[in-house]
Amino acid sequence: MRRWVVVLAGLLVVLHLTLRVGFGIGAAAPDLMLLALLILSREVAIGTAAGVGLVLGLLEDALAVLSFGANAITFALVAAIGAATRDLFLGDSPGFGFSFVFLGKLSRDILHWIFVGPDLREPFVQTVILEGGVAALYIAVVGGVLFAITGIRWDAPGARR
Amino acid sequence: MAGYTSPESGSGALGRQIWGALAVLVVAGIILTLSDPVKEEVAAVIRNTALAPFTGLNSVLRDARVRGIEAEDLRQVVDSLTDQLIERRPLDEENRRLRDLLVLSERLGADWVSAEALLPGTQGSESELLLDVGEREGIRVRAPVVTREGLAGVVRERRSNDARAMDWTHPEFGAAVMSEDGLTHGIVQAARGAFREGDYLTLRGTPFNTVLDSGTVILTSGRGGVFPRGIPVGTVERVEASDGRFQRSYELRPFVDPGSITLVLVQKEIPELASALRQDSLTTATEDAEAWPTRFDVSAAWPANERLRADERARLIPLWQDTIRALRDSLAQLRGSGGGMR
Repeated sequence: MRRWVVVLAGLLVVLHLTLRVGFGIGAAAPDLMLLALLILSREVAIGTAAGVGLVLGLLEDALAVLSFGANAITFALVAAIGAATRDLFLGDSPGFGFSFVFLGKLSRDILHWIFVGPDLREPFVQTVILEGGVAALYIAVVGGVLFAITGIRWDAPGARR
Repeated sequence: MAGYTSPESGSGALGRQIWGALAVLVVAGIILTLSDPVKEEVAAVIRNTALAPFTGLNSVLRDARVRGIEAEDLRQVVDSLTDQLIERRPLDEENRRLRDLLVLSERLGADWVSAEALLPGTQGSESELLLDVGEREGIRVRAPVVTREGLAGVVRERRSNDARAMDWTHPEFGAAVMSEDGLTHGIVQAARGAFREGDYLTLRGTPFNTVLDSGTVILTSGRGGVFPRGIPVGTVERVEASDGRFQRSYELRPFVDPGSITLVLVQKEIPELASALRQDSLTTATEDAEAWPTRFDVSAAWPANERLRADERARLIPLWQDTIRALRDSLAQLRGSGGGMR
């Protein structure tokens, strides 16, 4: 675990809450909390990642009372899956970061759409494909830029085995 | 730099982590199935603790936005009121002129007719006024043209529906005048200033042995049969010249600014006046002897304390308004204290 990466993830969470909750700009700000979770999931053990996902999900849920818990389980699952990818993929290519974040965001939207319950669900195509696709592209670009600037890569030899 | 390395498969550490992840997922599933009141309580706790700085920031920014919008609204209201005030100013000015003319008209009586004066403003028509009254309204040639401030000019030509007059700046303008006390008589004529707005009147032919102080009010004297007695003309500014030991000339500051002449009163033809002038006796020519002072001496229409130029009168209006406001406040205070004593 690299401490500076964990600190960076923490800053992303604070920035996410500042932009979305503090400044109230909503979806105009990228989903930096998910980006932080995906980065952390590659840095900590799978159980820890799931726990972090649960906590961050609860923070998101606190502002959406009707679907409380949906983000918690979604984030926990995404974090666990993100951590599991460490044993499946290397993260040393420039395209990995972009794809990892893009797919992570799509997975988050799909899982959230499932867990939010039938009463609150918006049409799948609109929520996940259209809005979710654009949002995924948005955060993937932001993530790609962040990875390029900070040099975050996951090329641990242990992951090859 | 290397990141986290997963434990070897089959090791106890990996198993613990997987079980830990499953436990977290179970907890998340339990949270998802909590009842709504419990969910609301948990959410409230999170909002009031971990999210409190962010929701607080949101409140602060929202309040600032609202204040900004309120300030903008207030600024728009102020701008709108300012615009209305600016738009009202010409209306107020016109209202003031109309009121002034109405007051003057009441004082002068039915021998005078109101008219709108137009300044042609074309080359060669300087010092001329076009009036929208004529023979049909009964005005006469050489009838005086007056405003609330005083003598503005004299009618030169009349047609059936309109007339042409010259204001006091015309080179041919002249009037028999006297000092306010009636002791010093003379003739006023226009004099050219350095520019048109600088034109002034000169009082000529006053006896050398009388000296008029600066500020002395000069009125028409009624001599010459053109102007009735008592129309304000101007105030003495300074001695212009002395002609040997016989006469003095004074520079006068006229009451009427020719550029601001818009509404005027013009004297109608009075047969008795013409007859009296022919017979050289006003009293015998006037059927109603009681009426002649008001017809041929109009000084009562311009009381001494109202002989002001338009700009001086305009400056006094806010003062009057303030005085009335102060009086109203004093009365309100007196009523309040009286009520308290009772």
